[in-house]
Amino acid sequence: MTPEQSSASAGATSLRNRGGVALLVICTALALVLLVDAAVRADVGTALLLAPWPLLVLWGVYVVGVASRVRAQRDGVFVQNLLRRTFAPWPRVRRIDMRWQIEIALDDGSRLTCFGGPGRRRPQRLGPGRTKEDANGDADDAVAALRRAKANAERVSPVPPIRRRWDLPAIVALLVLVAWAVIAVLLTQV
Amino acid sequence: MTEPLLRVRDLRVAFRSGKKNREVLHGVSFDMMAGETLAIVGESGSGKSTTASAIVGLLPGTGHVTEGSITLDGRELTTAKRAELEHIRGRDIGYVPQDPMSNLNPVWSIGFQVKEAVRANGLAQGRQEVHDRAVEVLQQAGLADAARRMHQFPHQFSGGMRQRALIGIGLAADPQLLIADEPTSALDVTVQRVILDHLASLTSERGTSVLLITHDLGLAGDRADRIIVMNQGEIVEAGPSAEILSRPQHPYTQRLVAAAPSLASKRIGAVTTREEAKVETAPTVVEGRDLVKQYSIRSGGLRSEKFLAVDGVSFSIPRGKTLALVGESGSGKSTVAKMLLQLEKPTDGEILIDGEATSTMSRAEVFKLRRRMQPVFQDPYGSLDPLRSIGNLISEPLHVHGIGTRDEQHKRSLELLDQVALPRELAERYPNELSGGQRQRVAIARALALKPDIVVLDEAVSALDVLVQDQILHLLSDLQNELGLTYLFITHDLAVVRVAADLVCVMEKGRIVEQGTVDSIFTDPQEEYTRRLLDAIPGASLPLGGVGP
Repeated sequence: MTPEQSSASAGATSLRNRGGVALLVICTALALVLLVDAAVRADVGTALLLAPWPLLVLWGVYVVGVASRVRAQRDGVFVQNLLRRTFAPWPRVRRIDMRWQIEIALDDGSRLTCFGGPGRRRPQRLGPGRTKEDANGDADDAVAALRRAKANAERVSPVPPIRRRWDLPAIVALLVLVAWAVIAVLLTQV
Repeated sequence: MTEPLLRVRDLRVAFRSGKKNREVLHGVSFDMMAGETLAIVGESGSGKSTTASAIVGLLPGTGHVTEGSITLDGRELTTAKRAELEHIRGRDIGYVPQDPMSNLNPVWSIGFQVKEAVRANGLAQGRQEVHDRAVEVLQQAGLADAARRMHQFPHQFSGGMRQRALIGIGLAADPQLLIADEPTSALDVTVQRVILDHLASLTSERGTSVLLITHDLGLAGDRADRIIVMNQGEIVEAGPSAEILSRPQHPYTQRLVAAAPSLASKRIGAVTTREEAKVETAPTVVEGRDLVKQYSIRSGGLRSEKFLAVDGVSFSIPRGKTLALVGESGSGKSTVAKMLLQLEKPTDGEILIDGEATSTMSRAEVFKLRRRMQPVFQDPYGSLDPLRSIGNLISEPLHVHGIGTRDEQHKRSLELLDQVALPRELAERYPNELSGGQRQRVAIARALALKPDIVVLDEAVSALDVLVQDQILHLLSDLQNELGLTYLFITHDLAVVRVAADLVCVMEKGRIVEQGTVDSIFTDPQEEYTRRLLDAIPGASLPLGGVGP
């Protein structure tokens, strides 16, 4: 467990794009149906040869829709964009804004665009001539929650540095899946 | 003795309503000499604009002259045929309409509309000649880069530029008489001054007579040689401007002069020194800290330019006090109000309500906050839904916030009508049946429905004539004393600030250039911009508001 994850104790709020988890659940169910179907109609070996492809799709959905997220923690903000993880202690955060996605300005001059957080949406049409006025309500609430967490953060001295890392478990999973796929291709060509 | 240019005798105008005629002008008579500037003043509905429309033969709807005569340079206009009137309009009588925002066609370029006037008045023939004349007309109206601006559309012009274009069209054919119907009522004081100076220089160069229709007594006193005061379709008093304003004889004129706010006026409901000291220690309800608002303006393709509407604005309003934000159009006043009302989000900075930062509030918290903060907008015609009854409009906020049963909401709307001094019968009526002043009272009643403690008044009295304005300002002051309301008052009229506010912030190009108490800013302005704003108030030296010069 990384330090930023260990500090994400009680009170941490995770913010994700709407529908990411739901899409993963649907894709998982679909992959299971396909693989079980392959095992039943052919055999388990064939199902294992086919398995890396739906699993690669699932990996993609997981990385984009579930792993990519913003989390407001007691001591800082944790942002994962695809495979890149950044943890910025609150004193290092200058501003939190909503542009197309949540954007966090850090004190080293960099801007962190949160691909995984709630994004700006077009006004939702409810019917002819009627639109939902607060289409960006979720995004506004997310920004307010991050700002609230920053405002309530305790002062620490010295201020820890900003940490940037890769999502190693996801990378390892990808390598395993790619290797599995390569082996499956080689076996089917023999 | 020279003959008058315009002679109006016993003019009666009526509007047909079914089989009945309703007379709105009851025997109006006056003369206008060549080169003279005459102002007609009076409250809304007094017949000022109807008189002007009758002269130019453009009475709206079923309006018609029932009796009397109008002669221009010896020619009778009431019996003139349509073709004759079409010849007279533009060439002999120019017309500058009231609202520059709605009197230019939004789908045609400014150049096209000026060329149309040039062609209709037979000022030029041939494509190039018409174009050159149109450019000349706009240049004479004070648009320096007229050739380039010919291709622009009304929405790309500021209010002042649109009014210049309309003045250009009005004066294009060098008319003998120019009718200017509230030519600057939609503009702020500094632009108003520039436009009126320009109009005065153009008309004096050409010896044009100007019939100025206005509800602004200061403006009439400043710009006109003579003033005619109208009330309920009749002339109640007429004479030289200075005399009418310094020694009004008719009780109606006396009321008008007393109601007109001026720099010498006193704060309505001014408190004693002891009470003042008490209020000074009142806690801060609203605070703006280093507010910044930046907009991205699309400049073609995917490119956009940054525009800083508000730049580092800080202010605070103690409980029960009124802070006025003043400045020219585009200085960022309304953007600050929108940010306070949570209709716009600040790019940077913070708004605190009772010390709590609004940027950290969730939607549910902002919704709760809206119960405490209500707006009254500038245009009572535009801010009330024409399809809802007055009672329904007033109780709408209660419905939105789910307060009370239907009966309780109805009862509250009747109470609110009492509070703003409107009869309860109005609850069943619709906005189009009410005057501008009554509508603004309804807007105030609606703002008070949720018992807020902060009210944002965005140019809430700018569109009203002096008597109604005075009534509304007194009403606001009474409500403030009764309910302890805190007001953010946005206006470009510094004379109104004098009577309605305790504190003032002067804004220029998105920044606050000066702030302090109204007395200190008005008696000793430190900034050149503030001085310019104060100097631009029409009739600053006139004895208005019941106060001597």
